[in-house]
Amino acid sequence: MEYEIRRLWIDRDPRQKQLWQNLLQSGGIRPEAAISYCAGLFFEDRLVATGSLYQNIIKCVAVSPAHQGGKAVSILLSHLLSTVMENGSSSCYVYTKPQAARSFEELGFSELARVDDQLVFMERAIYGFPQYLKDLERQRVPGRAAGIVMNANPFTLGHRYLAERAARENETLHLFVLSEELSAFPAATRLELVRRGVQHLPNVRVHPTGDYMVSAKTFPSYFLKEDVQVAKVQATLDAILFRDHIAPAAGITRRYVGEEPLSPVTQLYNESMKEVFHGAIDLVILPRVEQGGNVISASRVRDLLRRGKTEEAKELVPESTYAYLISPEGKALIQKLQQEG
Amino acid sequence: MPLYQIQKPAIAGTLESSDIQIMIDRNDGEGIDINLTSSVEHQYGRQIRETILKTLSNMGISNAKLTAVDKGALDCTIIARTIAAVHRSCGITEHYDWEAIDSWNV
Repeated sequence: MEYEIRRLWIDRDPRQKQLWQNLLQSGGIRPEAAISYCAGLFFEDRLVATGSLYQNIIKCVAVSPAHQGGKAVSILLSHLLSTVMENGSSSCYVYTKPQAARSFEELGFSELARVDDQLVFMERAIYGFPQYLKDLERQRVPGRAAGIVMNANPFTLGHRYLAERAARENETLHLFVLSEELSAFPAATRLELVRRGVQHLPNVRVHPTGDYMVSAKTFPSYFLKEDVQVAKVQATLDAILFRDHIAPAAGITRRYVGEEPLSPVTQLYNESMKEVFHGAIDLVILPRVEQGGNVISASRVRDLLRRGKTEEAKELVPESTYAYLISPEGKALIQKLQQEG
Repeated sequence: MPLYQIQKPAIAGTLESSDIQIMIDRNDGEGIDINLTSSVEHQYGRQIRETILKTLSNMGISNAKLTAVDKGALDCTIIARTIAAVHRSCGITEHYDWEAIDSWNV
Protein backbone atom coordinates (compact mmCIF):
# COMPACT_ATOMS: atom_id res chain seq x y z
CA MET A 1 0.00 0.00 0.00
CA GLU A 2 1.12 3.50 -0.74
CA TYR A 3 0.54 6.78 0.98
CA GLU A 4 -1.99 9.01 -0.68
CA ILE A 5 -2.56 12.73 -0.26
CA ARG A 6 -6.11 14.03 -0.35
CA ARG A 7 -7.54 17.41 0.35
CA LEU A 8 -9.70 17.46 3.49
CA TRP A 9 -12.87 19.52 3.34
CA ILE A 10 -13.07 20.21 7.04
CA ASP A 11 -15.45 23.11 6.60
CA ARG A 12 -17.95 21.08 4.55
CA ASP A 13 -17.67 17.49 5.62
CA PRO A 14 -18.39 16.92 9.32
CA ARG A 15 -17.14 13.32 9.16
CA GLN A 16 -13.75 14.41 7.79
CA LYS A 17 -13.60 17.18 10.32
CA GLN A 18 -14.13 14.70 13.16
CA LEU A 19 -11.34 12.43 11.87
CA TRP A 20 -9.06 15.42 11.53
CA GLN A 21 -9.81 16.68 15.03
CA ASN A 22 -9.20 13.23 16.54
CA LEU A 23 -5.80 13.01 14.85
CA LEU A 24 -4.81 16.49 16.04
CA GLN A 25 -5.96 15.86 19.57
CA SER A 26 -4.04 12.59 19.79
CA GLY A 27 -0.95 14.66 18.96
CA GLY A 28 -1.73 17.24 21.65
CA ILE A 29 -2.64 19.88 19.09
CA ARG A 30 -5.72 22.06 19.13
CA PRO A 31 -7.61 22.65 15.88
CA GLU A 32 -7.35 26.18 14.50
CA ALA A 33 -10.08 28.19 12.86
CA ALA A 34 -7.88 30.17 10.47
CA ILE A 35 -7.18 27.55 7.81
CA SER A 36 -7.35 28.04 4.06
CA TYR A 37 -6.25 24.57 2.93
CA CYS A 38 -6.15 21.27 4.74
CA ALA A 39 -4.40 18.14 3.49
CA GLY A 40 -4.71 14.58 4.75
CA LEU A 41 -2.29 11.73 4.23
CA PHE A 42 -4.00 8.35 3.95
CA PHE A 43 -2.56 4.88 4.35
CA GLU A 44 -4.82 1.94 3.58
CA ASP A 45 -7.66 4.43 3.42
CA ARG A 46 -7.04 5.63 6.95
CA LEU A 47 -6.06 9.18 7.85
CA VAL A 48 -2.55 8.94 9.32
CA ALA A 49 -1.20 12.48 9.00
CA THR A 50 -2.46 15.98 8.37
CA GLY A 51 -1.14 19.46 7.76
CA SER A 52 -2.83 22.74 6.89
CA LEU A 53 -2.09 26.09 5.36
CA TYR A 54 -3.21 29.57 6.09
CA GLN A 55 -1.92 31.50 3.09
CA ASN A 56 1.80 30.70 3.23
CA ILE A 57 1.88 29.54 6.84
CA ILE A 58 1.99 25.83 7.63
CA LYS A 59 -0.18 24.87 10.58
CA CYS A 60 -1.62 21.99 12.53
CA VAL A 61 0.81 19.29 11.44
CA ALA A 62 0.17 15.95 13.11
CA VAL A 63 1.38 12.46 12.28
CA SER A 64 -0.03 9.39 13.99
CA PRO A 65 2.62 7.63 16.11
CA ALA A 66 2.87 4.52 13.90
CA HIS A 67 3.85 6.65 10.91
CA GLN A 68 6.32 8.99 12.57
CA GLY A 69 9.99 8.91 11.64
CA GLY A 70 9.20 7.54 8.19
CA LYS A 71 8.33 9.13 4.93
CA ALA A 72 4.84 10.26 5.93
CA VAL A 73 5.99 13.66 7.13
CA SER A 74 8.19 14.31 4.08
CA ILE A 75 5.38 13.43 1.68
CA LEU A 76 3.02 15.70 3.58
CA LEU A 77 5.45 18.63 3.77
CA SER A 78 6.46 18.28 0.11
CA HIS A 79 2.82 18.54 -0.81
CA LEU A 80 2.20 21.58 1.38
CA LEU A 81 5.30 23.37 0.06
CA SER A 82 4.29 22.69 -3.55
CA THR A 83 0.80 24.00 -2.81
CA VAL A 84 2.20 27.22 -1.35
CA MET A 85 4.41 27.75 -4.41
CA GLU A 86 1.56 26.96 -6.81
CA ASN A 87 -0.41 29.67 -5.08
CA GLY A 88 2.30 32.08 -6.19
CA SER A 89 4.23 32.53 -2.96
CA SER A 90 7.97 31.99 -2.85
CA SER A 91 8.21 31.69 0.91
CA CYS A 92 6.67 29.47 3.53
CA TYR A 93 6.54 29.77 7.32
CA VAL A 94 5.94 27.61 10.31
CA TYR A 95 5.48 28.36 13.98
CA THR A 96 6.23 25.29 16.01
CA LYS A 97 7.39 23.99 19.34
CA PRO A 98 11.14 23.85 19.85
CA GLN A 99 11.11 20.03 19.94
CA ALA A 100 9.89 19.97 16.34
CA ALA A 101 12.39 22.54 15.06
CA ARG A 102 14.99 19.94 14.08
CA SER A 103 12.62 18.00 11.87
CA PHE A 104 11.74 21.18 10.03
CA GLU A 105 15.41 22.06 9.67
CA GLU A 106 15.95 18.74 7.93
CA LEU A 107 13.22 19.74 5.51
CA GLY A 108 15.10 22.92 4.63
CA PHE A 109 13.54 25.38 7.06
CA SER A 110 15.71 27.86 8.92
CA GLU A 111 15.05 29.39 12.29
CA LEU A 112 14.28 33.12 12.41
CA ALA A 113 13.52 33.59 16.10
CA ARG A 114 12.45 31.71 19.20
CA VAL A 115 10.62 32.50 22.41
CA ASP A 116 12.24 30.54 25.24
CA ASP A 117 11.02 26.98 25.34
CA GLN A 118 7.66 27.83 23.84
CA LEU A 119 7.96 28.63 20.18
CA VAL A 120 10.23 28.68 17.14
CA PHE A 121 9.44 30.71 14.03
CA MET A 122 10.91 29.19 10.87
CA GLU A 123 11.13 30.06 7.20
CA ARG A 124 11.61 28.19 3.94
CA ALA A 125 12.16 30.67 1.12
CA ILE A 126 14.11 31.45 -2.00
CA TYR A 127 14.84 35.00 -0.92
CA GLY A 128 13.42 35.27 2.55
CA PHE A 129 14.51 37.09 5.66
CA PRO A 130 18.24 37.48 4.80
CA GLN A 131 17.26 39.30 1.62
CA TYR A 132 14.68 41.45 3.46
CA LEU A 133 17.38 42.49 5.95
CA LYS A 134 19.87 43.17 3.17
CA ASP A 135 17.37 45.50 1.50
CA LEU A 136 16.83 47.27 4.82
CA GLU A 137 20.56 47.64 5.33
CA ARG A 138 20.82 49.34 1.97
CA GLN A 139 18.43 52.03 3.23
CA ARG A 140 20.41 52.61 6.36
CA VAL A 141 21.42 56.22 7.01
CA PRO A 142 24.09 57.44 9.45
CA GLY A 143 22.81 59.03 12.63
CA ARG A 144 20.12 58.11 15.12
CA ALA A 145 17.26 56.14 13.61
CA ALA A 146 13.84 55.37 15.03
CA GLY A 147 11.25 52.79 14.06
CA ILE A 148 7.45 52.67 14.09
CA VAL A 149 5.29 49.70 13.12
CA MET A 150 1.71 50.40 12.16
CA ASN A 151 -1.23 48.79 10.44
CA ALA A 152 -2.66 52.19 9.43
CA ASN A 153 -6.12 50.93 8.63
CA PRO A 154 -6.36 53.72 7.45
CA PHE A 155 -3.65 56.33 8.15
CA THR A 156 -5.02 58.95 10.60
CA LEU A 157 -3.84 62.20 12.18
CA GLY A 158 -2.85 60.04 15.17
CA HIS A 159 -0.42 58.08 13.02
CA ARG A 160 0.84 61.26 11.48
CA TYR A 161 1.50 62.80 14.87
CA LEU A 162 3.53 59.75 15.92
CA ALA A 163 5.53 59.90 12.68
CA GLU A 164 6.13 63.64 12.95
CA ARG A 165 7.38 63.39 16.52
CA ALA A 166 9.74 60.52 15.73
CA ALA A 167 10.97 62.22 12.55
CA ARG A 168 11.71 65.41 14.47
CA GLU A 169 13.55 63.71 17.32
CA ASN A 170 15.75 61.47 15.14
CA GLU A 171 17.87 61.71 12.02
CA THR A 172 15.84 59.03 10.29
CA LEU A 173 12.51 57.33 10.83
CA HIS A 174 11.82 53.86 9.43
CA LEU A 175 8.09 53.37 9.22
CA PHE A 176 6.91 49.77 8.79
CA VAL A 177 3.42 49.06 7.51
CA LEU A 178 1.92 45.61 8.09
CA SER A 179 1.67 43.64 4.85
CA GLU A 180 -0.94 41.17 5.98
CA GLU A 181 -4.25 41.18 4.12
CA LEU A 182 -6.57 41.05 7.08
CA SER A 183 -7.75 44.61 7.31
CA ALA A 184 -10.63 46.60 5.87
CA PHE A 185 -8.13 48.54 3.75
CA PRO A 186 -5.93 46.41 1.46
CA ALA A 187 -2.20 46.32 2.25
CA ALA A 188 -1.22 48.19 -0.93
CA THR A 189 -3.70 50.98 -0.14
CA ARG A 190 -2.59 51.24 3.48
CA LEU A 191 1.04 51.46 2.38
CA GLU A 192 0.26 54.09 -0.24
CA LEU A 193 -1.76 56.23 2.18
CA VAL A 194 1.11 56.12 4.67
CA ARG A 195 3.55 57.16 1.91
CA ARG A 196 1.35 60.09 0.93
CA GLY A 197 0.69 61.02 4.55
CA VAL A 198 4.39 61.40 5.40
CA GLN A 199 5.49 62.97 2.13
CA HIS A 200 6.19 66.25 3.96
CA LEU A 201 8.77 64.50 6.16
CA PRO A 202 11.95 64.03 4.09
CA ASN A 203 13.71 61.80 6.62
CA VAL A 204 11.03 59.10 6.73
CA ARG A 205 11.44 55.77 4.92
CA VAL A 206 8.40 53.60 4.52
CA HIS A 207 8.74 49.79 4.34
CA PRO A 208 6.28 46.92 4.12
CA THR A 209 6.74 44.38 6.93
CA GLY A 210 6.59 41.45 4.52
CA ASP A 211 6.03 38.19 6.34
CA TYR A 212 7.99 39.24 9.37
CA MET A 213 5.31 40.66 11.60
CA VAL A 214 2.06 38.88 12.06
CA SER A 215 -1.21 39.91 13.55
CA ALA A 216 -3.00 38.04 16.30
CA LYS A 217 -5.41 36.69 13.70
CA THR A 218 -2.76 34.77 11.80
CA PHE A 219 -0.58 33.84 14.70
CA PRO A 220 -1.05 30.12 15.24
CA SER A 221 -1.40 29.16 18.86
CA TYR A 222 -2.55 25.56 18.53
CA PHE A 223 0.66 24.09 19.92
CA LEU A 224 1.00 26.38 22.91
CA LYS A 225 -0.05 25.19 26.33
CA GLU A 226 -3.65 26.09 27.16
CA ASP A 227 -2.70 28.37 29.99
CA VAL A 228 -0.18 30.63 28.27
CA GLN A 229 -1.25 34.03 27.11
CA VAL A 230 -1.17 33.72 23.35
CA ALA A 231 -1.03 37.47 22.78
CA LYS A 232 1.95 37.68 25.10
CA VAL A 233 3.92 35.02 23.22
CA GLN A 234 3.11 36.62 19.89
CA ALA A 235 4.10 40.08 21.12
CA THR A 236 7.34 38.70 22.52
CA LEU A 237 8.20 36.99 19.22
CA ASP A 238 7.53 40.19 17.28
CA ALA A 239 9.70 42.15 19.69
CA ILE A 240 12.56 39.64 19.47
CA LEU A 241 12.53 39.69 15.65
CA PHE A 242 12.64 43.47 15.80
CA ARG A 243 15.39 43.67 18.41
CA ASP A 244 17.67 40.98 16.98
CA HIS A 245 17.26 41.47 13.24
CA ILE A 246 15.20 44.36 11.94
CA ALA A 247 16.53 47.08 14.24
CA PRO A 248 20.23 46.17 13.77
CA ALA A 249 19.81 46.01 9.97
CA ALA A 250 18.26 49.47 9.79
CA GLY A 251 20.32 50.90 12.63
CA ILE A 252 17.24 51.59 14.76
CA THR A 253 17.80 52.39 18.42
CA ARG A 254 14.39 53.76 19.33
CA ARG A 255 10.89 52.50 18.79
CA TYR A 256 7.88 54.79 19.04
CA VAL A 257 4.43 53.55 19.99
CA GLY A 258 1.14 55.19 20.86
CA GLU A 259 -0.17 54.84 24.36
CA GLU A 260 -3.29 52.70 24.52
CA PRO A 261 -4.90 52.94 27.93
CA LEU A 262 -8.16 51.43 26.70
CA SER A 263 -6.94 48.32 24.88
CA PRO A 264 -5.53 45.59 27.14
CA VAL A 265 -4.04 43.76 24.14
CA THR A 266 -2.09 46.77 22.94
CA GLN A 267 -0.98 47.45 26.46
CA LEU A 268 0.28 43.88 26.74
CA TYR A 269 2.10 44.47 23.46
CA ASN A 270 3.82 47.56 24.78
CA GLU A 271 4.78 45.79 28.00
CA SER A 272 6.30 42.82 26.15
CA MET A 273 8.27 45.19 23.97
CA LYS A 274 9.60 47.00 27.00
CA GLU A 275 10.77 43.69 28.51
CA VAL A 276 12.41 42.41 25.32
CA PHE A 277 13.98 45.73 24.31
CA HIS A 278 15.44 46.36 27.76
CA GLY A 279 18.90 47.84 27.33
CA ALA A 280 18.92 47.38 23.54
CA ILE A 281 16.25 49.70 22.16
CA ASP A 282 14.52 52.65 23.81
CA LEU A 283 10.76 52.40 23.81
CA VAL A 284 9.10 55.80 23.52
CA ILE A 285 5.40 55.73 24.43
CA LEU A 286 3.53 58.84 23.30
CA PRO A 287 0.08 59.86 24.50
CA ARG A 288 -2.62 59.68 21.86
CA VAL A 289 -3.86 62.76 20.05
CA GLU A 290 -7.43 63.77 20.77
CA GLN A 291 -10.12 65.30 18.66
CA GLY A 292 -13.46 66.38 20.11
CA GLY A 293 -12.66 64.90 23.50
CA ASN A 294 -11.82 61.41 22.19
CA VAL A 295 -8.57 59.86 21.05
CA ILE A 296 -8.08 59.59 17.30
CA SER A 297 -7.94 56.00 16.16
CA ALA A 298 -8.31 54.10 12.91
CA SER A 299 -11.15 52.08 14.42
CA ARG A 300 -13.02 55.32 15.15
CA VAL A 301 -12.54 56.33 11.50
CA ARG A 302 -13.82 52.97 10.23
CA ASP A 303 -16.80 53.22 12.54
CA LEU A 304 -17.72 56.62 11.09
CA LEU A 305 -17.32 55.31 7.55
CA ARG A 306 -19.53 52.35 8.32
CA ARG A 307 -22.23 54.68 9.56
CA GLY A 308 -22.00 56.79 6.41
CA LYS A 309 -20.34 59.75 8.12
CA THR A 310 -17.36 60.20 5.83
CA GLU A 311 -17.64 63.95 6.29
CA GLU A 312 -17.02 63.61 10.05
CA ALA A 313 -14.02 61.34 9.47
CA LYS A 314 -12.41 64.27 7.68
CA GLU A 315 -11.45 65.72 11.07
CA LEU A 316 -9.51 62.60 11.99
CA VAL A 317 -7.42 61.96 8.89
CA PRO A 318 -4.86 63.87 6.82
CA GLU A 319 -5.98 65.38 3.53
CA SER A 320 -4.28 62.62 1.56
CA THR A 321 -6.33 59.93 3.32
CA TYR A 322 -9.52 61.95 2.94
CA ALA A 323 -8.85 62.42 -0.78
CA TYR A 324 -8.72 58.64 -1.08
CA LEU A 325 -11.94 58.17 0.92
CA ILE A 326 -13.90 60.37 -1.48
CA SER A 327 -12.27 58.90 -4.60
CA PRO A 328 -14.25 56.28 -6.57
CA GLU A 329 -11.97 53.55 -5.21
CA GLY A 330 -12.42 54.80 -1.65
CA LYS A 331 -16.18 55.05 -2.04
CA ALA A 332 -16.35 51.47 -3.27
CA LEU A 333 -14.34 50.36 -0.25
CA ILE A 334 -16.62 52.24 2.15
CA GLN A 335 -19.63 50.65 0.51
CA LYS A 336 -18.08 47.24 1.09
CA LEU A 337 -17.40 48.15 4.72
CA GLN A 338 -21.02 49.10 5.20
CA GLN A 339 -22.31 45.90 3.64
CA GLU A 340 -20.09 43.81 5.87
CA GLY A 341 -21.48 45.71 8.87
CA MET B 1 15.44 35.73 -26.84
CA PRO B 2 16.66 32.69 -24.94
CA LEU B 3 14.38 29.67 -24.89
CA TYR B 4 14.15 29.54 -21.11
CA GLN B 5 13.36 32.70 -19.21
CA ILE B 6 13.04 32.39 -15.42
CA GLN B 7 9.85 34.28 -14.64
CA LYS B 8 8.26 33.26 -11.37
CA PRO B 9 8.92 31.19 -8.27
CA ALA B 10 8.55 27.48 -8.98
CA ILE B 11 9.18 24.20 -7.24
CA ALA B 12 9.93 20.63 -8.33
CA GLY B 13 10.72 17.44 -6.48
CA THR B 14 9.91 16.24 -2.99
CA LEU B 15 11.57 15.86 0.39
CA GLU B 16 11.41 12.10 0.24
CA SER B 17 14.43 9.88 0.47
CA SER B 18 16.50 9.71 -2.77
CA ASP B 19 14.87 12.86 -4.10
CA ILE B 20 15.78 16.53 -4.21
CA GLN B 21 13.41 19.46 -3.88
CA ILE B 22 14.37 22.48 -5.92
CA MET B 23 12.89 25.94 -5.66
CA ILE B 24 13.84 28.50 -8.29
CA ASP B 25 13.22 32.21 -8.83
CA ARG B 26 14.63 35.14 -10.78
CA ASN B 27 17.96 36.64 -9.89
CA ASP B 28 18.20 39.42 -12.44
CA GLY B 29 21.80 40.11 -13.40
CA GLU B 30 23.15 38.49 -10.25
CA GLY B 31 24.28 35.17 -11.71
CA ILE B 32 23.41 31.75 -10.35
CA ASP B 33 23.00 31.43 -6.62
CA ILE B 34 22.38 28.00 -5.08
CA ASN B 35 21.53 27.48 -1.45
CA LEU B 36 21.96 23.76 -0.79
CA THR B 37 20.89 21.72 2.22
CA SER B 38 21.92 18.10 2.06
CA SER B 39 22.43 15.25 4.45
CA VAL B 40 25.44 14.26 2.34
CA GLU B 41 26.71 17.78 1.75
CA HIS B 42 30.17 16.87 3.00
CA GLN B 43 30.79 14.14 0.46
CA TYR B 44 28.60 15.24 -2.43
CA GLY B 45 27.76 18.93 -1.95
CA ARG B 46 30.09 20.08 -4.68
CA GLN B 47 28.92 17.44 -7.11
CA ILE B 48 25.26 18.30 -6.55
CA ARG B 49 25.97 21.98 -7.19
CA GLU B 50 27.92 21.17 -10.32
CA THR B 51 25.11 19.00 -11.65
CA ILE B 52 22.58 21.79 -11.13
CA LEU B 53 24.92 24.39 -12.67
CA LYS B 54 25.60 22.19 -15.69
CA THR B 55 21.89 21.63 -16.26
CA LEU B 56 21.14 25.35 -15.99
CA SER B 57 23.96 26.16 -18.37
CA ASN B 58 22.64 23.56 -20.85
CA MET B 59 19.34 25.40 -20.74
CA GLY B 60 21.05 28.74 -21.34
CA ILE B 61 20.22 30.14 -17.92
CA SER B 62 22.79 32.47 -16.42
CA ASN B 63 20.70 34.21 -13.72
CA ALA B 64 18.64 32.32 -11.15
CA LYS B 65 18.31 31.91 -7.43
CA LEU B 66 17.73 28.40 -6.15
CA THR B 67 17.29 26.59 -2.90
CA ALA B 68 17.76 22.84 -3.00
CA VAL B 69 17.03 20.38 -0.22
CA ASP B 70 18.69 17.11 -1.10
CA LYS B 71 17.76 13.77 0.37
CA GLY B 72 20.43 11.71 -1.35
CA ALA B 73 19.30 12.10 -4.97
CA LEU B 74 21.23 10.54 -7.85
CA ASP B 75 22.52 12.80 -10.64
CA CYS B 76 19.71 11.80 -13.02
CA THR B 77 17.14 12.87 -10.40
CA ILE B 78 18.93 16.17 -9.78
CA ILE B 79 18.92 16.90 -13.53
CA ALA B 80 15.25 15.94 -13.91
CA ARG B 81 14.14 18.09 -10.98
CA THR B 82 16.18 21.07 -12.19
CA ILE B 83 14.70 20.80 -15.69
CA ALA B 84 11.18 20.54 -14.26
CA ALA B 85 11.66 23.54 -11.95
CA VAL B 86 12.96 25.67 -14.84
CA HIS B 87 10.06 24.70 -17.10
CA ARG B 88 7.52 25.56 -14.40
CA SER B 89 9.22 28.85 -13.67
CA CYS B 90 9.07 29.72 -17.36
CA GLY B 91 5.41 28.75 -17.52
CA ILE B 92 6.11 25.95 -20.03
CA THR B 93 3.62 23.13 -19.56
CA GLU B 94 3.79 21.46 -22.97
CA HIS B 95 5.98 21.14 -26.06
CA TYR B 96 9.10 20.24 -24.15
CA ASP B 97 12.22 20.25 -26.27
CA TRP B 98 12.96 16.57 -25.73
CA GLU B 99 15.57 16.49 -28.43
CA ALA B 100 17.67 19.15 -26.72
CA ILE B 101 17.13 17.64 -23.28
CA ASP B 102 18.15 14.25 -24.65
CA SER B 103 21.32 15.65 -26.19
CA TRP B 104 22.64 16.72 -22.76
CA ASN B 105 22.76 13.12 -21.60
CA VAL B 106 26.20 12.09 -22.59
